Amino acid sequence: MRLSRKISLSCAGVGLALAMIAVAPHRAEANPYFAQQSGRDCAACHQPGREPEGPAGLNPAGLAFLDAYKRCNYQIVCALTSQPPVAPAPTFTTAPTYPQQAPSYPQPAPAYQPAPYYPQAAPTYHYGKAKFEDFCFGNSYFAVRVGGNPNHIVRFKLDLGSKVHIELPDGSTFASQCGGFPSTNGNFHPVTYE
Amino acid sequence: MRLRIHAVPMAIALAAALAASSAHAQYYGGSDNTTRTRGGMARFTDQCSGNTFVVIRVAGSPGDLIRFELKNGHTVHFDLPPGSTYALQCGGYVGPNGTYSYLKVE
Repeated sequence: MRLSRKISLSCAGVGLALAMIAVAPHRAEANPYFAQQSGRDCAACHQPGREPEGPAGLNPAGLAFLDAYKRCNYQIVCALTSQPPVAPAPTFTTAPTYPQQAPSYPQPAPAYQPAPYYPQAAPTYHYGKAKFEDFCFGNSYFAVRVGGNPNHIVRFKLDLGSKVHIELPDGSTFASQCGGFPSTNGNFHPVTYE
Repeated sequence: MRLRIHAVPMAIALAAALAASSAHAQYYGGSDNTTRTRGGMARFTDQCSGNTFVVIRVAGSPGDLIRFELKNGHTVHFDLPPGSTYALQCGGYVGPNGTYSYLKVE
C-alpha cells in the first residue's frame, strides 16, 4: 500500500513536470545551430534586437533562407546550397564614409576669365564751409589738415581784420599762430563748420 | 608800285612775327614770378561787390582744389606749390571748365 502510494506520487510529479513544460509557452529565439552551420552571424538573418522572436524577427534574408529551408524539407545543407550567399545585413551606426578626394579625371584647363569689374564709387566727402579770421591784428597764420590728413596741409595767412570762408571736407583740423606758420606737427584742432 | 604793295604786307607780317616771338619769350622767360615756375605766397583780395569766389588747383591738379570766399575787401595769402592755378568769379564758384591762371608769387 505504501509502495503503490509512492509510485503514484512519483508519476504525479513527473506528469506535473511534463505538464508544466507542455503548458509553458515556447520561447522562440535565434537558433545558434543555423549560425554554426552557415558560418554566418545571427544578424545575417535576424533583425537587430529581435533574435528572441525567432521567425517573427527574421529580416528578408532570413525569410528567404526559411523558405529555402522548408523547400529542402528542413535540410540545412540543401537550404544553404540552394540559397544565394547572403550578405550580412549592414548595420549603419554612422554615416558611411566615402573617399574624401574625388578621383582625378583628365579635364581641360579652365579658360581664363577676367575678374568682373565692379565700378566703385569714389569716396564721397561731405564739405562744409569753415570761417577763419585774423586774431593777431594782422598776420594770423593758419595750417589746415584737409580731411584731417597730416600729409595734406593747406597754409595761409590773413591780413588785419580779414576773414576767409574755406570749403573743407569733414574731419579737417587746423592750427594757428601769430607771426609765422605753426608747425605741421603741432596741436591741431577740429575745424568749426558754419 | 607792285613792289610797294608787296612790301607793306611783308613788313606787317614781319612785325607781327617779331611781336609774337617777343611775347613768347616774355611768357616763358626765366624772370617769371608766378606759380608757373615757383611756389610761394599768393594774395587774394575780395574784388566783388558781393562775395568773391576763388578756386585754386593745387599744383595744377583738378582733383586737388581749395575753394574759398572773400568779402568786404578782405585779403588772404595762400602758400602754394609750383604749378598752382586759380579761377576767380563773383557770385559763385567757377566750374571745372573755367579758365585757370597762374598766380603771382609775393
